[in-house]
Amino acid sequence: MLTQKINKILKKVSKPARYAGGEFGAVETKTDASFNFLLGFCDVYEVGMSNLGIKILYGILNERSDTNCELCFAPWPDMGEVMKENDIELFSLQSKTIARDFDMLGFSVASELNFTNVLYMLELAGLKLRAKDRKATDPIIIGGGMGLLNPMPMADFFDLIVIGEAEEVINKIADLYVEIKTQSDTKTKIKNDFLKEVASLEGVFVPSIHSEEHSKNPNQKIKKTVVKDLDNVYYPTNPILPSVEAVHNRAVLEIFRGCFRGCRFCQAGFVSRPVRFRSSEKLTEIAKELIEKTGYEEMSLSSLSTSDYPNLQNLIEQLKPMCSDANVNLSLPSTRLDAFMASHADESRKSSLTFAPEAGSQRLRDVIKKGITEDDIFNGLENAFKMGYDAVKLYFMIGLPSETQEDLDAIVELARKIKTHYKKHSKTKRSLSLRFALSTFVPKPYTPFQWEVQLSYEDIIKTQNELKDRLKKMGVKVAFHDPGTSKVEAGLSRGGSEIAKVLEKAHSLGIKFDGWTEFFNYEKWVEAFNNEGINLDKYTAQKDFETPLPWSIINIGISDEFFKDERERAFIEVVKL
Amino acid sequence: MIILKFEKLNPASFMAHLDVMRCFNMALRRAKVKVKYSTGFNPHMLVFFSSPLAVGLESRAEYVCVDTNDSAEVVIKNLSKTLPNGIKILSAKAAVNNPNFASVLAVARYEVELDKEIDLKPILDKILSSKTFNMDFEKMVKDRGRERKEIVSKDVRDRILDLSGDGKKYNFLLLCGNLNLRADKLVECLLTEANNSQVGYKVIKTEAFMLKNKKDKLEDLWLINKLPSVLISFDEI
Repeated sequence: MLTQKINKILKKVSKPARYAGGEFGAVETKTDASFNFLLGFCDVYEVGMSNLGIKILYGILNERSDTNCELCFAPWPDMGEVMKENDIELFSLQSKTIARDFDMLGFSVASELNFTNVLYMLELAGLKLRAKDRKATDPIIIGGGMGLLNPMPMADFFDLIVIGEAEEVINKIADLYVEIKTQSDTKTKIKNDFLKEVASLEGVFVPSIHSEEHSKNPNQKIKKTVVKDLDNVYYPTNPILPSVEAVHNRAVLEIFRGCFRGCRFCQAGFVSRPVRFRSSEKLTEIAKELIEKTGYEEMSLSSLSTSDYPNLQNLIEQLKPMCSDANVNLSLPSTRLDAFMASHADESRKSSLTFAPEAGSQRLRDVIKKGITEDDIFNGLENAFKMGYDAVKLYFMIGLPSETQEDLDAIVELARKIKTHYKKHSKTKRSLSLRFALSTFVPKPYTPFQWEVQLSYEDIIKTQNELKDRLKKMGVKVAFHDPGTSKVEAGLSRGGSEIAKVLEKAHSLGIKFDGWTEFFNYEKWVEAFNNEGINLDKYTAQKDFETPLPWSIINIGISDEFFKDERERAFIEVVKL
Repeated sequence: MIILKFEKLNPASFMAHLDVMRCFNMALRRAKVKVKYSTGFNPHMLVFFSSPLAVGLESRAEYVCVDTNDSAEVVIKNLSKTLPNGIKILSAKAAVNNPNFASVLAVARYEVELDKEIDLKPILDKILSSKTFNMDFEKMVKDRGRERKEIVSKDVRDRILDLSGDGKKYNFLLLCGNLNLRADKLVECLLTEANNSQVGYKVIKTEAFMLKNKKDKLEDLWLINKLPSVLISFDEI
């Protein structure tokens, strides 16, 4: 039995509960289902178990009487090695069935830094990486998630990719598969017929069919699929609860999707449009169930910009008593500290206060359309300092389009002003803990800055060092994003189908878990790019407007004309507020 | 206070102690057991566990004490529906005080089953008749800022109270708690000694004991011939 074989190797690996199964809230395996789906997450258990999307799909598929959906996460490198040594293929968490025995294997790809883990998991599953090399008897490989919104770099590895929100289309996909399976007698026929038919569903990209169609007719595009009414979609109120503490150890209440702010660097903000709110009635209902069925001690509100929820005050007033009755701590966004929020925040534990001005100067904040002014920051801080907050964290980005030395100076100046402000308004004798987290701008598809240049590796280091020195002298704790990671992220996110061979090479060099600093290896990535004769710098350079973008096959719901206009507006520094 | 005896079998046996604590906390909340909270800046549930069980070891004799006014019947009924697969409440009884498991539970019995028959009897007898018995342990040491594994040899004879059995099945009586010997490590050591290190095995902790008389010293237990007379199963009190 595979379970016994697995139990034996679990004694040799770190955190074996990641692979043991038996979680509370797991759905009982259906042995007679006509559709067996293995839902894979391309990062480790603790990260995947914090992902709302995984819980939604797991719940939707298992609600179907004809479908059995099981989970599987990327085995940590120590487990991957032991599995290979002992000839154990990638297996499902619940019934310990090998991936190859499923009808379909799905990968939720959260970001570009998960790409190599897809290949790592395919290899562990004993499957060929490229779709064209796989047999008809192999499971159909489906992908989705934020990381695959530009599907081109990964297109050759998948049979189909869902562009957009999968919770409605996944049922159509399951219906179609079950229907075709009952009609067809051979696996080859099932796979061929299924791919042909599924290609006509909204939001489904079948590379083997659509790529050719698009090259013949560039207007033939794949339209992103979105859920229309958030009140009428499945919500995982009875989710699977992890056996190893997840990165987010709390109940999550998703209050809305989309964002109307339109910060020009932010991919998430544009691709998740249109803005759709969940009603406060529905949210209170969900919250009540979540509290009862999970037993979490904390609940957080999730969205791209929680303070933009209409009548947030009313929602919090409804949630608050429910939470305190059950000893649940409701964690609130700390970015909007007006009097109301302040009074509520005061009751719960005082954590640190977080702002994301992203740029130091007002000029650059206007360029990126970050609608936050110094007055906003200082008014918020004043309230907070008076209430006794003594820790502030600020997020910035370096290398934003049009950035100059003055913009960097402004970051340092902001630190100085906050310190003075603290001395003026704080009533405590404690010193201020000021932390700055500085990431590097990554030009992303589906943003007004999708054509922009990224700082060179050397310039990132130079800027980071300068700011580190100056801020440290002022007693600011500084954290930076790894420059190599930012370069590779840019290279992968703006790539086309030619990136596939780079990814294959990277995989053969043993690259995996790129999202983890202890595993990320820039030198190896450069080797992978060079080896395939592809220049990484080309992907991080300024793009011209005439050449079609590699991801032009996708219709994300916003035209490139809009993005071009927004880009122009950025550089004439006009902000619609 | 309610004292619960529970089993921790596969797959839950792979959960680490901290995760078991977190899991009980959430399970009690889901079961709506009215557990008392500590007073203070960060209130936490008043729940007390017996000493951590090694990850990967199965047990039918784990204990937890829950500070609540709910009856034992209610707790066992509600909590049974909210625990993960592998953790099961075996019994519940009321107690006046928190028994402080870590300091009272001193000895555990383990049942060992090998995948095939191997005669370990001569090795067991040799250990029992010796004054010392050294085992190798992996220890993480810091070496110029880096962590690395080092093998350390340690005399564990005083942690072994009794070893018996033959063929496939064996019985160990070992100290557990502050002075502790992992039964699975001992099996691996015995199998290596018998030149059969590749053989699979299953270990289950089946019983936990406390000292009848507090004056008896743990360190000297192995020198006492008639062991049962000084030990009492925790379930009997």
